[in-house]
Parts: sequence; C-alpha cells; structure tokens
Amino acid sequence: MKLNPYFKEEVNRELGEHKILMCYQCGKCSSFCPLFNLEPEKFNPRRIIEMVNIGAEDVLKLDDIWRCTTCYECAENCPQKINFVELIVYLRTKATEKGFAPKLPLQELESVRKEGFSVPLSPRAKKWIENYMVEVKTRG
Amino acid sequence: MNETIVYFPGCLASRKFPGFDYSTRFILQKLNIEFKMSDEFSCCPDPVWVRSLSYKEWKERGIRNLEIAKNLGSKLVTICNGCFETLFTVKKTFFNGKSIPVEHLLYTLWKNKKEEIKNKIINPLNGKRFGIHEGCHFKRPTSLTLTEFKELKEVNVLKEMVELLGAEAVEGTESCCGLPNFITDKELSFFLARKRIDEFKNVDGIVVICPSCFSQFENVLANDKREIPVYFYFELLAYSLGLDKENLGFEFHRIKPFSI
Repeated sequence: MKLNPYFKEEVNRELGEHKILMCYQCGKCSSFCPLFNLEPEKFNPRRIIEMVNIGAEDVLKLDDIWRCTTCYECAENCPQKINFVELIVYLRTKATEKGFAPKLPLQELESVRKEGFSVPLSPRAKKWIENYMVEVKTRG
Repeated sequence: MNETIVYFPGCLASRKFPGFDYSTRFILQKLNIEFKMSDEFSCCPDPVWVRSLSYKEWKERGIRNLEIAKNLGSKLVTICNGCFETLFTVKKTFFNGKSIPVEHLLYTLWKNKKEEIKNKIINPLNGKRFGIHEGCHFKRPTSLTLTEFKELKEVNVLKEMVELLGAEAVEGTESCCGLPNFITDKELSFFLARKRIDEFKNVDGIVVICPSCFSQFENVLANDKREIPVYFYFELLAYSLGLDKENLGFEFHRIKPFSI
C-alpha cells in the first residue's frame, strides 16, 4: 500500500483541522454501522478512517466508500464527535474527480445537470397530474 | 400558524409518486395553511449522490433553492427526508442558520396542527396496525437538527401522528432502509431493507414519511413477492381528512394498498 502524507493533510485541511485525526480507533462507528453488522468485509468505517489517517490514498479506489448509506449511525455514536458521513462525502467527491466514481450514481448527477431533477417525469405520472392536479393547484 | 409556507415537494413526490404531492396539497388546504410553490425550484439536490459526486453543485443548487424560497414565504416545508436534509444542512452550513427556516411537514403538523387534525378526521383508521419508519434523515445528524427541533430527542413524531388517525403504530429500531446504496450494491441494500421490514410482525402495512424509503420498501417487497403495503403518511392523512380514494394516487404503488 502506497502512503501519501499530503493526502492526510489535505483531508484534514478540507474537513476542519484535525477532525479526522481525533479518531482513536475505538470502533464504535463500525459497531453501530448497519452495513458492517451485515457484511464486515464490505464496509468498515473504522478501517476507512484508519486508511485516511495513515495517508493511504488508495482508499479512493475502494468499492467500500460507495456502499455507505449515510444513515449517520456512526456519527451519532462517535465519542469524538467525528462526522464520518462528511468524510465519506469528501472521499467520494475526490474519487469522482479522479475518475473512480461508479457509473449509475453519475447518471443521477447528469440528470440534475440537464433537467434540473434527479427523477424523470414518466408519461403515466404526467397524465395523472394533468387529470388530477389542476383542481388542487388552482385552489392553492 | 398564520403564515405562508413555501411547499417544496421534491423530485420523487412530484414526478414519480404524484399522489404524494396531491395528498399534501389537499391536507394543506383542509388545514387552512396558506402555501406557495415555485416552478423555479430544481432538485434539492439529493444529499447522498449529488452531494457525494459534486459537493460544489450540491451546495450551489441548495443555496439557489433557499434563495428562491425566502422570497415566497416565511418557512420552507418539505415532504421528503432527503430534501429536508439537504436544505436544512445547506441553511445551517452556509447561511450560519440565517436563512428561511426549513422543516419536514410531519414536524410542522405535529407541532401546530394536531388538535385541528383530530377535529377534522372524517375517515379514521381505527383497527389498522402499521409498522412505522421515520427514516434516517428526518432527524439525523442530531448534532444539526436537535439545535432547532429539540422535541425530536424525546418524541416519536410519526408514532403520535399515526395514532392521531386512530391506527396502532408499531415501532421498531431506527435502522436504515438501505435505499442509498441500491445503485452501488443492490444485494446489500435489499438485505438492509429486509432486516428493517422483518421487525414488523402482523401489520396492515408500513408507514413512511420519505419517498425514498417508500420506493425501497416497495421494491424489496415486490421483488420478494410479499403483500405488505407501504403507505406514505400524507396519503393516509389526506384520506382521513376526506380525500377520495381515486385521488390518492394508489395506482403508483407496486403493492396493492388495503381496500378503503
């Protein structure tokens, strides 16, 4: 594993000085994580923080960082008040910049860029809205 | 509550499950809540994927939506946990909290309209037993939300609001529905949803307040060929307040709802 001390510095600079460095690896984030409790090999918040804190930039290439549901169980239970979700968001943004993002989430971003919305309006929904929505809308 | 609220339905409720939006407008009218909307609003945007892929665009669009809202009314109200998380977080992070207040409609109604709802119920849901799922982003991260919604620490708002309609509310854990990683690890995502669904025994359905949780539970249940209906709370409230069955938009459900 290649280590890059500047990566660690960059993360801490972006997320707030020493925020992630406050982690003392107690593992509460993982023990409260619903994903870790189902598939510990697939997603382990404690391991991700440790990788960041030793400067293992390859964390950006892991599938693991795309599995977090951002449910905040980790953040709610961290004795050091570290918001792990903020770290995940940051790592995903960095991974995207480097071209490591999976394709499907990118489609949602493209939809927001092009249409302004993340969900297309289906012809069925459009028809239903035309039939039912007008009456309420005008009274609103 | 004599004020004009800005109603922000969000993408799923207005484009995929239009009955959610319709039910909500009906509720607002029934409860004499003045509301305004805007065609200028975009996606909130989604606090999971848009925020994760392009934090800058997430922030800019969130700020834009709040700027539009503040010229329309005194409070922005959403019916989606995702929209709530994005707009509330953007407000707290980039406006130092000093922008238009952002609330989830469930909280707004619980705080201000419980008595009025009780007095206006035409179709009570007596005898029904529902599993309730508030969803992660209704109050998490509490480090942000509890600064403004202190009551959420003590009260299960959805439980009280379901009971207000005459139904029994069955609580479970506060575990995640799993929707956010549906597109990156479907197996794991469904695994999470099943675990949550299986917490509810002998229920007439599951009640949610987030269109994403709704979508996830329905997809998993339909995939597993299980006939447990899922309801968006505001559909049930609208029905209780007198909205006709055909206007609820139940045809957009994958699992057939109960006959009412």
